[in-house]
Order: sequence, then C-alpha cells, then structure tokens
Amino acid sequence: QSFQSLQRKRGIMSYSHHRRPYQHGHGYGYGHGHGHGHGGYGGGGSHSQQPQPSAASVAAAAVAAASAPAIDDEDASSVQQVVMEGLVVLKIAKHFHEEQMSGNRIVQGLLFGLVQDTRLEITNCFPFPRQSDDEEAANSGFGIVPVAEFDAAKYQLDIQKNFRQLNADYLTVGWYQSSAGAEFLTKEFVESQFHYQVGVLDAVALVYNPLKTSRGQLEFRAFRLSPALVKLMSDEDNVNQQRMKELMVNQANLVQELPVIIRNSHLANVLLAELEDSVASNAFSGLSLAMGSQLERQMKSLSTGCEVILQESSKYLNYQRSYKKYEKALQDQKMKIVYENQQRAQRGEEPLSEDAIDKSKLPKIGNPPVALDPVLVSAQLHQFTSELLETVGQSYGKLMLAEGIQFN
Amino acid sequence: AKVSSSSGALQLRVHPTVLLQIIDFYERRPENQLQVIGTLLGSSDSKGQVTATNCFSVPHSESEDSAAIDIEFQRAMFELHRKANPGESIVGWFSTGSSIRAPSVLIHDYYSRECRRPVHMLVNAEVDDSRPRMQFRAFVSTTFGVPGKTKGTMFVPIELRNEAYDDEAAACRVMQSGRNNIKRAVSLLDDVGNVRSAARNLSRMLEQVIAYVDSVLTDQQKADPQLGRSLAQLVNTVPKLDKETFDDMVNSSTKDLLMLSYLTTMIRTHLDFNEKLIAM
Repeated sequence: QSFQSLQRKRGIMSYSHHRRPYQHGHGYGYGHGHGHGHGGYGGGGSHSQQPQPSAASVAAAAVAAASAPAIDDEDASSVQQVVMEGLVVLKIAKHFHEEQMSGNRIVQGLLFGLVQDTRLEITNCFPFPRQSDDEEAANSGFGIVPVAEFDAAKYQLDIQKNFRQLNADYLTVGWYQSSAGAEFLTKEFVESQFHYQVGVLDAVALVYNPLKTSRGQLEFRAFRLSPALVKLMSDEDNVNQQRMKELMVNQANLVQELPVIIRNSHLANVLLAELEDSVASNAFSGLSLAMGSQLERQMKSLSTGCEVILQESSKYLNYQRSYKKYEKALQDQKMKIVYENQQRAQRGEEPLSEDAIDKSKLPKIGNPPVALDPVLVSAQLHQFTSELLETVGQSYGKLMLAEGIQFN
Repeated sequence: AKVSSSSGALQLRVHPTVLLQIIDFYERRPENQLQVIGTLLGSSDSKGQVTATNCFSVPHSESEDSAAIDIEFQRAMFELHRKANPGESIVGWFSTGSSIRAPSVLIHDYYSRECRRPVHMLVNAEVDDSRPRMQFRAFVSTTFGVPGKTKGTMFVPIELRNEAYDDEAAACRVMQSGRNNIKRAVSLLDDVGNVRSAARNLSRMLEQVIAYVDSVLTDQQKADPQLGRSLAQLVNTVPKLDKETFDDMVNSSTKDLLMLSYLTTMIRTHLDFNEKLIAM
C-alpha cells in the first residue's frame, strides 16, 4: 500500500519579485512585481511555459514592467477560499514562538502553493530573517539582517530554486504575518500586499493571531485587496479624494477576507492521531473567565485608533480652511485684474492677461492630506470593533456556562 | 568484540513540525524513490538531550551498498534556514523506511562531519492493516569491533520523545477534528464557536464520568478508590458561592460587557458617519 505520489498541477511561471514587506522609511529599492501575461488560473487550463529567466534579466524586466499593465475586471481573482495544510500552520506557529522569545513582535514569511479552481492551496511556507534598522542589533551576531542589506528578491529565488528540487510547490502565493489581535491594517501591509497582488493575481496575505493560540484557539485570516483599491494604488501619483470617490473606495471596500480551512493529507492525519496523546495541550484553557486583560488591550487599541482618526479629521479640516483662503485670495486678484482691464480698455491700452496674477501674494497652502490614510485607519478601527464584539460575545457565553454549572 | 559506547544518556526530542514535514517530504518523493532522507535542525544541550525543531529533505540516491547525497543542496538549504533562524544548527539526519540500511552508515558518516554527534531518526510511514501504527526511532552510532583489527559501526537506539511548544500543541489539537470530517477540512471557528465546541467536549467528558459513576452505583463495575478520590476532588473544585454573590458577579460582568458592546457599536456608527462626511 505505497502511497502514490500526489499528482499536482504545477504552473511554471517566472519568478515574481516583491518588495520587502516592511520599509522602515527607506526609499523603494526594488522594481515592482513582474507582471506577466496570464489568462487566470481558473479551471486548470494549461499554462504557457515561460523560460526560466536569469536574475539579471528578471531585474531588467521588473524595471521595464514599472509601467504596470492596466488592470480590468476580467483579471479579478477567481479564488473564493484558502486551504492550508497543517504543515504550514505548524511552521508559522513555531516561527512565531521562536521569534517571540527574542522579543520580536512581528514575524513574516512567504507562502507557497498553487491555485486550483476557486481554491488557493497553501502547501508550504518559509520565514523571512529578522530585519532591523538598528545597526547595533545587526552587528550583535544574532542573525539580524540590516534592512538595507537584505535582498528579498534573491532570498525568494533561492528558496524557490531549492523547493523546486524537492518537488515542493514553489509558486509564491502570498505572504504571512503575525499580528497582535486585529492590528494589521497598516500602510505597509496594504503596500506589501499590493506589490504581491500585482505580481501574482491571487496572492493573499495571511494574518496569524498568536494571542488566540495561547487560549487554545487557532486564528488565521486571509486577505486580499479589493479590485477597487488595486486600481487606485496602481496609479501612484494620483491617490486623492477624487479618484477614491470615482472608484468607490471606502473603509468597507479596502480588503476582502477569504475563508480559511485547514486540510491535511491522510498520512498527516494518521500522524496527528499518533501524536494525540503525546502532544497534549489544555483543551479548555479558552474557557477561562478572566477576560479582563484581553478586553483592556482591545479597548486601548480602539482609543488610540480613535485619536488617530481625530487627528486626521482635523488635518483635513485645516486643509479645507486654508484652501478656502487661497481660493478667496485668488478670486480677489482676478477681480482686480478684470477691473484693471476695464480701466485699460477705457484708456485704450492692452488688457492684462490672467498670468499677471502675482502668485507670491497668495497665501500658502500645504499639500492636501493623503486621502488614503484616514480610510485605512477607519478600516483598522472597524477590525478592532469586530474583534471586541467577538470577545464580548465569547465572555458572555462563558458567563452563562458558569451560571449553568453553579446551579445544576 | 568489545562495544565501546561513545554516547551518554542521549535523548532525542522531536517537535511535531519535524514529523509533519517528514511526512510531507515522503509524500512528495520522486516516483522511482522509495525513501527520503534529510537534515535535522535543532539544538543540543550539554546534558545530552538533542531537540529537533526543524528539518528539510535532501535529494539523494541510494543502492544496495552505496549512497549519494546532494551536498551542495544540503549546504545551500542549511544556509537559508540559518538566515531565517540562526538558533538552529544541524543535529542529525532522518530517513524514512522500516529498517536501517547499509548506505545509512555512509550518510551518517557525512553528517558526522557536519555536526558533533549526529542523531539518526528513522520514520516508518508505511501504514496498512497489518501495521497500523507509524514507527519513530532514533539512533546514534558507535564503533565496535576488535580494537586494532576489524572495526564496524553500529547504530544504538536512543530514547525518542515527542515534545512541542504550547502553540504547536494547540495547533495539533485543533487539527485533530479533521480526522472525522469527510473532506478532511478543519474550519477555524470564531470566538463563540470555540466556546461552543469546548463546552460540547466538556459535556461529553462529563457524560462519560457520569456513566461510570452510575455503573458503579448499580454494581456493574468495581469501584476504584483512586478514581473516586479524584472525582471528589473534581466536584469540590467548583467554587461554592451562594446565589446572591454569584448573581452579583454575573450581573456586574454582564454590565461591563454590555457597556463595551454599546461603546463599540457607537464607535462604528461614528466611523461610518465620518466617512460619509469626508466623502462630501
């Protein structure tokens, strides 16, 4: 009863570059994702075999592809569900656990797998090394790579090369990140996911919540940017209020969440059965009634989020006010010129053109506030509120349970 | 022949991540290969305990009496892993299969050059009706033979234990439910769902206990005093509060929770409102 080697469909695609997920204030160092023509993965159609490019040519192609192809609705991903293998679950949990012991709060890595019909299957993953801006930390010999030196593209290529030899899936289908509760919807998150999505249409961002694991639950959520947001961000210079209204990007429309299920092969299930007794964990730690610290933490995130929203609103109001002043001054000048022209016409002289407006006399206005930020923050706050409501519901359930036990 | 043992009280602790990965590599092996081998990564402490926390497979080929492994690959993969986690080093190697084969000595020899005292783990993943359990064994090598004359290598079994971080253990437990599902799917429950399933488990366990107590009372089973004592302990751990105190506690907690949900919903409405205003 040998187990047949699994027949897997593998599309050979050119390696997609990605920008290193967290840019600590450095400029964009890499080209954008290599957008390649593909007719979507749905239905298991045959993929066009592209020759494996060398690293240099890929870099050149990435630069050439900086003018990303236009994204229309036909390219929208057909993935409806994300399926993870237990292997990936354990690797991510272990990665977080080991990083946490050295004080790193956020861990990230790559996801590999394949797309089948409406399912995105994640079959393997690999962590990124720790990166830090701190020069001292980098030289302390703990393997922390300084941000400027880390070549994410080469790292990814190396992993893919090796995985290919091992017969493992080497198609990058996304990236993962740990988060404290629902706190993940930051600017860097959206930008990273954008770059992954441009390179691979079905790329997802997998968010792992380690706080739940300590209470005996598992939480993995998969997100991808909505097509509207992708359209908005693909034109980098033009992210303003106007376009956002056109594309209908509001805080409910930023990211789409995909349901995640975990699936193991038969052999893996046999292994899990073997381990059931020897790897014991408290199945009921989640029933503890002590939710106080948890609720406090969530309330704190909520209140800081609200403060940020207030700041953004006031920034916006200030901008509006100064813009009005500017407009008014502009109008005044125009009226003056018209009046001047009338007088000149009386005297038979050439009329002044509008260019004669003395720009230096106008009040200064700053740049308009970045329109995407408040929407991001409010989407993040929405996540916080959902998380809090969930916790509240859970606590209430547990209270009822305790009541039942007491009086029966 | 004298057996000179160079191993102390050696013990191998294996994390479930390693085992799941080995199974995965085994499933993905090329068509013509019967077994897979690979490197074990982890740490070892001075007391002779070796912990394996990660692994990766290495392409290899073997025949009756010889073996070849892709050393370049091994090194490259190890470098990659070390970048990701500098705390892990090579502690040994694994192989699938039912018994140690002749080429294993050669491979073990290679690994002795990579680490001080490599541990060899043997995983038998061939499971069928006659052999329903998987087998995991661990060995170290010692030399034996006549000193000065013929010498040979022997694999000595050492103790193998499963251990896991809490996170890994919790993940394994959640995934157990995939066994009973037709589609082998484990869907991740939200908070309330988790409480519900935990409560269901609890009630199932309680039912078993109650059935046992009933059968003892009706003389169908002999009473075990130790069990009885633990049962008594169990019943006593439920804190005995009088109704009033308990009601007070429940009420104040409920009030807190209601306040929180009210605040949260209000914040949410504000957010939507704010959005509409800005959009104008």
